[in-house]
Amino acid sequence: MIEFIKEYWFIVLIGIIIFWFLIVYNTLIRRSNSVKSAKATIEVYLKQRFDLIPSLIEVVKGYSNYEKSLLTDLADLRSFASKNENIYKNNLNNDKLNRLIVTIESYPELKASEQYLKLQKSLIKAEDLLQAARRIYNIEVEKYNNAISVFPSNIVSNLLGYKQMNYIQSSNEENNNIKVNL
Amino acid sequence: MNDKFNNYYSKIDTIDNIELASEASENNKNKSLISTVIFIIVLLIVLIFTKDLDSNIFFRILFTLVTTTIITTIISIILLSILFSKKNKSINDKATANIIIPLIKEFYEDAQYNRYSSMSEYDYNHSMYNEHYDRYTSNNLIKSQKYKLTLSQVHTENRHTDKDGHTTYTTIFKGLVCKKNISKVIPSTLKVLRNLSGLLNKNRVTMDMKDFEKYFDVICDNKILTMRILTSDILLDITNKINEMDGRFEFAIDKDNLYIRISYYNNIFSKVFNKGKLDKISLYEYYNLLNNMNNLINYIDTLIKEFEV
Repeated sequence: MIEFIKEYWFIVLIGIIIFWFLIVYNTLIRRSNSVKSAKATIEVYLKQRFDLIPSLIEVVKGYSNYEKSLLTDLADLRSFASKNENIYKNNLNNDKLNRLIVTIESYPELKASEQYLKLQKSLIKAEDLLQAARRIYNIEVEKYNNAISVFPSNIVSNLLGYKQMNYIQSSNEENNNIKVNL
Repeated sequence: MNDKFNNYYSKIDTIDNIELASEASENNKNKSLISTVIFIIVLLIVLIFTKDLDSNIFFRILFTLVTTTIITTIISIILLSILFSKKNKSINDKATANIIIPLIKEFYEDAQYNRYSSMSEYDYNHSMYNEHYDRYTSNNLIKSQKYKLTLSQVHTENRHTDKDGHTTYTTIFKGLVCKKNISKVIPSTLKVLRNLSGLLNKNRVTMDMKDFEKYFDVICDNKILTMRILTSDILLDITNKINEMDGRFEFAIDKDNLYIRISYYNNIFSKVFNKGKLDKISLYEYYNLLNNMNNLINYIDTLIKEFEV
């Protein structure tokens, strides 16, 4: 065995490098797939949340004292979200939705209505799921970014053209609103 | 020492219990006296029998001491258990009724306590730890119907046998374990464990707080559920509890059961008297242990109650 290694050390070395390359490559693929899967989960929960907008419009319509612009804003948001597939933009739309919910909740009559209270539970749960999915996404992005940046796996990631990914962050305003409302 | 403990202590610091403490102390003194007398008698007998032994002085002294100690120990164990078993039982029963049960009832007013009963190995093992051990012992069982919980001291050990056939045991876990029925069914099993037990577990969930990750491994097959229960605020609270508490703790939520364990390397409720007085320091340790457990139970129970499945 030792004789074989001595004689064909160059082939052995190349074999080791190929083996290591494959391990790193598979790790990067796994990390990248985890990020994609986490992203898909966010998209599912964003869709679930935006699907609640029609019900929200129905509840708001039942009350005469609301500002007309509120309905328009909600409808616009729904229409924009259904067309837009960009996760980062849809997250911003979700921030907008949270702000509109705050406005809705400033109408005490509307806020106390049975219909709204039922809907509120679904909205809270959807936001809750979304927050969880965002955190998972950010963790996966961190793992992925670390994997492509650290030496020596950054050699492989640079060769294969892997790029750093962005984290998803909620705006501070949204966080404050959620704390007030939920 | 906090007010609640001082209040409890003032209630048990009665003449009856002080008399019980001196009785326990007197009992121990009598035991020592009897053991000493036995030792002297055995020593004299051994000396008489060995006086004609034709060997060197060092061997004679060694032989005399070893033989005397062995014989004294055997006779003492037998004699003391015959003479003092009733007395010991009476003191232990009174100490349990007057001191330990009131301490437990500070937390669980309907609690039933039995020093010799145990938590079933199935309950300990069922959902939470799945750790390998060779010997399981449990005692000091506390049950409360009102709070739907069972608490017990548990000790698990691993057996090692060397090439000469000598067997030794090393402790895996020793401390207080709780099983509590919670009002909500969680559709998975979530474990928050300390040490590296879950490092290679395929269900290990990485959390987004470095300080928390330093202390705990989270194991669950549902990442979204894990993140929803363990929000950033909860992670921070749990990390802070590590610094507040003396013992290491771990917990698991399995469907509608909550399991918590806190490490504690002494025997729970084993020392209530010291030198003819109530042992305030030990009692405060037991109080703290129960208090920490109770705080954790309430904290996690409230967390689950407020959680929308």
